[in-house]
Amino acid sequence: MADGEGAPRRNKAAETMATIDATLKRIAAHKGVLGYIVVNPRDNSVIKHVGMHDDHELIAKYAQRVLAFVSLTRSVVRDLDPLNDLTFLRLRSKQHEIIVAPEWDFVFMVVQDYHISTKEELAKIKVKPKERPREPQDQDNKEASEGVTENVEA
Amino acid sequence: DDGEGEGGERKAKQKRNTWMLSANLGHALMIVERMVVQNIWQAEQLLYRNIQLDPFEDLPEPEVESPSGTRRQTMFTEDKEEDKDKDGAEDRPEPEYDDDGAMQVLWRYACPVAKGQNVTCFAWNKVNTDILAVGYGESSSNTNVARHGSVCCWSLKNPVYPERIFKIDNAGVSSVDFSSNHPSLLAVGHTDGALALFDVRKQGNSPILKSTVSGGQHTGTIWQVKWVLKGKDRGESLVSISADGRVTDWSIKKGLECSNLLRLKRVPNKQQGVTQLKGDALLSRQSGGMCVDFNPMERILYIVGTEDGTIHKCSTSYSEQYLETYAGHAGPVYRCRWSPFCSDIFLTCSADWTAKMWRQDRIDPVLTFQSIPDAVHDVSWSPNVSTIFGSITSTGRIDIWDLMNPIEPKTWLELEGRSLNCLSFAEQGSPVLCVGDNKGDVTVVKLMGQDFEAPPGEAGTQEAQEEKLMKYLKKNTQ
Repeated sequence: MADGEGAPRRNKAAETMATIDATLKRIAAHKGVLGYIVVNPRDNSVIKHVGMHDDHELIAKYAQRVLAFVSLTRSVVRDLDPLNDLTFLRLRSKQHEIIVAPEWDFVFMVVQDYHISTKEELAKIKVKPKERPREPQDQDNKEASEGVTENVEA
Repeated sequence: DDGEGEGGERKAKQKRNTWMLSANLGHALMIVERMVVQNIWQAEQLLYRNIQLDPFEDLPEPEVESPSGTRRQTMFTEDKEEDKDKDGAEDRPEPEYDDDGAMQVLWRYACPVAKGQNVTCFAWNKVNTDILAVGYGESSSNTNVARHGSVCCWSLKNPVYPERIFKIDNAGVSSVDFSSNHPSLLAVGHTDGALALFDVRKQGNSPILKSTVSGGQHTGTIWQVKWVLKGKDRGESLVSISADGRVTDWSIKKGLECSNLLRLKRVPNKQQGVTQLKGDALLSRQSGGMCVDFNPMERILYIVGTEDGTIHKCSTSYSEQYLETYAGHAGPVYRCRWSPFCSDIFLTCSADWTAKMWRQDRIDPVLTFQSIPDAVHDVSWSPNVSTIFGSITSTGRIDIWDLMNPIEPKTWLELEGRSLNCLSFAEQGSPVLCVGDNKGDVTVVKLMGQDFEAPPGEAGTQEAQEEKLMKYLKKNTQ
């Protein structure tokens, strides 16, 4: 009977783990994301990283600096109001944005280049162009011979 | 278990991975993902709420004669593959046609789970109006025998991946609706006639309640489920209509119990030239029901659209006869909807290429709308302006009609290569609509311009909108 109870609980844990794995993979695959780093806040060690050009020096730098920044920010928040606490941190610089989720047992940070446009994604949505009305309305490079330049309001 | 060395390594790895078991991780990751996605889709998400990211974006630049470079223009031009990669505003190609820019595609809800499946139905959450539940059924040549399906709950805050996915075996999903009294309760109608209730707060695929064959569930596809508020303090009832010709009311007090509100009987449809029913066989008397809608003012009145093309007005107090029969369509009526502003008017659409507007007290349609010779799969009123409604066809065309000119659509958009199955306006202040197609995608389109938004002040009240609707109706029917 003990196992009977354990089985659905284990299934639920496995399901949650699968969702978390999937979410982590998705985050790393979003446009502009350079990668993510998971750090252990107690001993400043890097638990895991994905992406970030696999540059270990860079990753160690990020881990150390961001952790220091997180504890500074947290102390600011708590100094102003001891009952308050830091939940999320977003640091936007000229080149990219660092998104940090600082928890007690881990610090999860994502580095993303936010200079991305949705043009490519939107271009995938194919919309049929509407037919031209008979009266020439716009400038058209191909029909240069017509030479009508007025924009007529429909 | 294994040698000490290996065991030690495994323990160390487990210790390192304990962060993954942290209780806060799931929530933290969800928020982080939303932030990452917002960095990509911010402009579109703001447009959804009618906020232009850069209000000066549309002002014309003095040097360039073409309309100011906005992303809208490039999106509509096809076959200019190389131009899509150019970033310079001066290089933006001229649109090849006259686009009034009234409809702008914002994004597309698509996920691998639902890829290739038919989108069959939508439901907006009654409390958090950003959440859209979409039902999918496996698409096959015979859509009535979908073997599996799913329901995904999408949110404005993450246009890239659904917040919830419920997978359904044995049947596709043909209808969904959110409850008003219990906002996290989602009723799902299946293509095999089963009805299931899901709690969207929970993850996982199992419904909290499901109907059984012995409990009297439907024997045909449930084409529509609807939660109906019975009025102050009288709770809510769940009504479903199905291809087996029954309109059933479900109670959830002790499991799912049903009672029939109505059995649809066939009535000769003059439109199809049938003046008398041949024979009187028991089976041929039943007619399959396709859609149902309850009058927003008088909750005991409802209209039902059937496969024969007739629409019946019924009451919950009479289970044997119809109050009124409206014959006008020559094909199955896919959708019937009462106007949210005027409780005497309703719209229907059908496979006979038309959408029709009716008055409760007249047997013949008041107005007929047709844009192209294709089956109209869905029709929906705009929640902001009483005279605007949208319709979609099987060739990918979305038409927006304005009663002020019922002859042709006010504006339209055609999506290539897909058949559109369902349409829904977002229940919020800014005019946005969603269309689901047969490829598993839900496209979100924004209507730009003051015409589509609720008129401010005096003209925007319920009474003023109702007056406006009646005025144009009278004008166009004389």
